Amino acid sequence: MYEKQILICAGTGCISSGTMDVSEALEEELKKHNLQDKVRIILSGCHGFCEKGPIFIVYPEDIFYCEVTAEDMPELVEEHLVNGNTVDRLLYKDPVTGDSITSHLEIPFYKYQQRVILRNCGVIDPENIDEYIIRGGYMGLRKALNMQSPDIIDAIKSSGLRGLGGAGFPAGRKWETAYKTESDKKYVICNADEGDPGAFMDRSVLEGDPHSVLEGLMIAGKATGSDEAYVYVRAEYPLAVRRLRKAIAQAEEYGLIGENILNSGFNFKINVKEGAGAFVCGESTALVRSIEGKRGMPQPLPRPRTTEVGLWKKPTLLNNVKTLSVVPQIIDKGPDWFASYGSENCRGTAVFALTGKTNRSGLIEVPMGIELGKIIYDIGGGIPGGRSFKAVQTGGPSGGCLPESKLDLNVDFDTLLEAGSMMGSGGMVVLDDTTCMVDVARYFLDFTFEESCGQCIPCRLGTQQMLQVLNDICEGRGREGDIELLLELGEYIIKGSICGLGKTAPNPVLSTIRYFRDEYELHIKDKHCSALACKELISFRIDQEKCKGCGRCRKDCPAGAISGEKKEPHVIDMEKCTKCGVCYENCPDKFSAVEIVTGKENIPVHS
Amino acid sequence: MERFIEPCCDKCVHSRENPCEKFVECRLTGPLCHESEECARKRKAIIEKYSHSEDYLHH
Repeated sequence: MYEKQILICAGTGCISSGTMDVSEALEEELKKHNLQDKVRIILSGCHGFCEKGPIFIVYPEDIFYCEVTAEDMPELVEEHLVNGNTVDRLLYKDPVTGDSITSHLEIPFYKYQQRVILRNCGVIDPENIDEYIIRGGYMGLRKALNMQSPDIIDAIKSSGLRGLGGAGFPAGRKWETAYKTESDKKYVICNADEGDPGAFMDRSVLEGDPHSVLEGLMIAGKATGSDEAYVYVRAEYPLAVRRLRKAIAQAEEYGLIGENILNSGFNFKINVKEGAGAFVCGESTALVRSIEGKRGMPQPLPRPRTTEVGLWKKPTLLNNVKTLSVVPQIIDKGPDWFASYGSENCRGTAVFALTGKTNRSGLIEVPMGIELGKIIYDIGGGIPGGRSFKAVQTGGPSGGCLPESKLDLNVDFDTLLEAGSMMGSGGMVVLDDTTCMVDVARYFLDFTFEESCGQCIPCRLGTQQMLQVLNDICEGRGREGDIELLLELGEYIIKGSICGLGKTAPNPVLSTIRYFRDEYELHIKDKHCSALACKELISFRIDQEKCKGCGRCRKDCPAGAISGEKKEPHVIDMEKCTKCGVCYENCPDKFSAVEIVTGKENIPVHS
Repeated sequence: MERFIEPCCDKCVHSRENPCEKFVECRLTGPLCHESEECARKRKAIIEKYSHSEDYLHH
């Protein structure tokens, strides 16, 4: 028995912030104090609160330290472990209330979450199968091995589980089709080709709880009559790949993967296929082609369902990481347990990567149907720096932007779709009033344009045309009729594209036109960007009355665009100005002589 | 018995080649195929070793 156990987050985010140095320094300090046999160090998966990493929790007292460094270890060991005193300076200080909080369960970021899918992430050592078993792991498989396929499928159906990769298709129905399609060979695939900018939900599950995904795959295999699976995971996730491979090796050693699993007669093999990172490979038929060694492109229409004709033309069940990882709990605890979470139409929980302009950001899990505003304000702590909320972008490049009027929306697959956005794989970017919505639409469309496989014309050329129109609008060349043109192009792309990438690519543009049309109009008619984000629509000006000729702006200007005699008002040469904003930033507050102006009439705007 | 894969005594025969149907629940609440306080203690020791908080076992 250990007197203390110290959990240090070893997810990708915290490792990049120095977790391994912290762990090494802690080990040394423990040895110095002869505590190495009394204190256990656990390198856990992601806790979700990556902005505060490396995260360091001391049990059994549950003291949460954050942003720790190797240099903090002598003090932490001496003060906390030897003298029994909390090191206040390393506690979490809430940016909203200013309070220091000791227990992680009291931190609002964690307090309002319901962790079902992420239950083991940040709790166990993901490289230790025993810890997974102690937390109830492989009991779902154990039960499934004694069940008939239709019974397993019925359990999944009655739980209400929907595909958590984005589309929200009822998982049980998909499993049933794969089961009912007769074949000598079937496959199960775990789609871990997470490609949305800023999204890291699947990576965290694979890094923090890999056995749950393996167990889910095996239960899916047992239910559908498959004996082989692939995990298709991005090669850019090296830690996830390493932990996954280690988990497979451990489960094989334990006799939980392989031949005659737990003496049931059920055989199952799991392969790992690393993808090269093409966004389109998240589409089922492109993913299948990629595993087969072909170029990852969606199959042209009409095409059969993957559950009927999939990998190597065999019936293939394809589910997302999160969908599969929650399956063992559904089988073990029962469908009613899972259905007790969430809303009427959408059961269970959703995992979001809450990022952007919030006081607290990171990976969160909430029940389906939670109010959007609760996520942003209760968990995220609202907008920092005295700014105001402008919009929230959900669903990544396939999703849309929702305005303040939608903060009372009960978030689930259906409500987000109705509102013009989507759940997607769980990206949630909060935007404040310094964000230009036309520029946001342009950013996401640029992403899908770059990631289009180029196979079908509506997607390849349609997104290019839309992007050109958006570039024109943001760069001051917008024309009357551009909004209508964008709407028309968007409709054609949705109707004509052959896969989900193209069919959803216009969403960020369409949703921003729907809710922020006035911004588009201001850009087009008045060449005005109120967020001051579109460089071509703004310029800098020195107020001749306010300028006292201190020369600060002239000295700091990297383009040599400012001139003026000492103690005389200065001027900016707009031919030379690169609009970097250094003059604006550096003009002393007591003068505030540099202004940013936008629009045809050069209206000054306070940023 | 430091890990669950290791047998508690020579009565435990689970291995990859000779799998026991009740391996998983045996490790949590066993032994199930024989009675032995010592073997039960070994399992419990592993569970206690990793249980770092009150919530850990309430899954």
